[in-house]
Amino acid sequence: MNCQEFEQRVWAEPHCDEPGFVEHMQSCPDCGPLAAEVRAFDGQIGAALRVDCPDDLAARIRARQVLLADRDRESNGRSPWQRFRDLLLGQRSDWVAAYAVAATVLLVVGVLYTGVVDEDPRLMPIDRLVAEHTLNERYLLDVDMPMPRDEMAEIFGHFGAQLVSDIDGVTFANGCVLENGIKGAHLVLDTPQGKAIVLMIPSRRVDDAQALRFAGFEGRIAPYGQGSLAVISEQGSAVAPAEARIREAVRWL
Amino acid sequence: MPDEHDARVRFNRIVSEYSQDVFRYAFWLCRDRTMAEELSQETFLRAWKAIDSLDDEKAAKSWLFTIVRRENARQYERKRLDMVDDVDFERVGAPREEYDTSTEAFVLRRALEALPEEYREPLVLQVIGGYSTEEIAEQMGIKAGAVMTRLFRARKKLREVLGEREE
Repeated sequence: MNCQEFEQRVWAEPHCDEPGFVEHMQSCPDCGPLAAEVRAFDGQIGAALRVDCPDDLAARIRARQVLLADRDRESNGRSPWQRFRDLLLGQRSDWVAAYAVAATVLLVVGVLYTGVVDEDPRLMPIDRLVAEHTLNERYLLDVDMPMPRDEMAEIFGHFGAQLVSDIDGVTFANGCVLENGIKGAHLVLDTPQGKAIVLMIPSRRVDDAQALRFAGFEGRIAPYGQGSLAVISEQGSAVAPAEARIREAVRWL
Repeated sequence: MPDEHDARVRFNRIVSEYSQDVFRYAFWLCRDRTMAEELSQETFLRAWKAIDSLDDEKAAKSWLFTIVRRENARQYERKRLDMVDDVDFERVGAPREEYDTSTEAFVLRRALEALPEEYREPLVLQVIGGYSTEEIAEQMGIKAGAVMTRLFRARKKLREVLGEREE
């Protein structure tokens, strides 16, 4: 590589690591300093290009993905289990598919029976479900996506609850599906004591209130209407005000 | 078909890893902070819908940049023509440690903004994306030699601007 070729290359690829380039840079008294100068300049370009990213961008991307996935699920209109059942029972002409599904069922049952899969999420204790869901969706604490009252009312309406007054400080609200497929509502409330996560779980009712404590979160799950209400926050300080707001604003039909 | 939970874990990993680079690339394509954010959001929603088609997570960044580029061409290029072609660099980044607020950096950002798009884009792909010349050529649908020429001219032009200032 001669000096002219080197100069062409260094302005296009300052960090080129091809042997001919590196050798010339190390041996030529003119091109070595030129490379150092261009590389330093490239550092300035890199710094100038490094515009700040919004702090909560990743959280908002994830939140939108959650909303999109839920909308898709709603638009499909049927749960994965229902679609599975449709495939098994509703398409009798497609015997190949039916046999394949039946074989899958037998395999899954066999695997569960032999204990290879350690736990069926449908049998998971509710406190563990709440913990798993909270930790999987903890980024929602960083999101600020207020929701109009009519849309929020619709979420509660899906499982037979009614919004009777505004809930102060809602920074996120959406229907959710817990890890065992149970549908509910997932809200984040901003209180003077910090943010709290609220999970309304309509189809599983705990008998008594239980304390929850996991991975730096504290809270409680208690019977509410036909289901359960779990409220969790970091260190637990926002649990009481958040729970009070929900109990005041949401009624079971 | 992979189950939704696994897909979400994978998606979340990709978001954590690449959302900043995607935003920066989007910003330098459209030169508007709000649009760059919309573009980033749209890119990741498209990525979510097609997450099953991503065989190798190591290729995720390149895959995302391709989506950004296509989305920008599809949705935003037309919109941008209607905008005042002046970037408010005071709003580009909140003053934080990693953001260089010196006059020199300001001048360089202005110069980057003023670069013809055909020069700016390969430079952004190289500096932010870490792409090789061949990869940039593939992304932009031009020959590697043309990429080298554009990169050479882009840096030379920027240098001239700073040189003028220093004189």
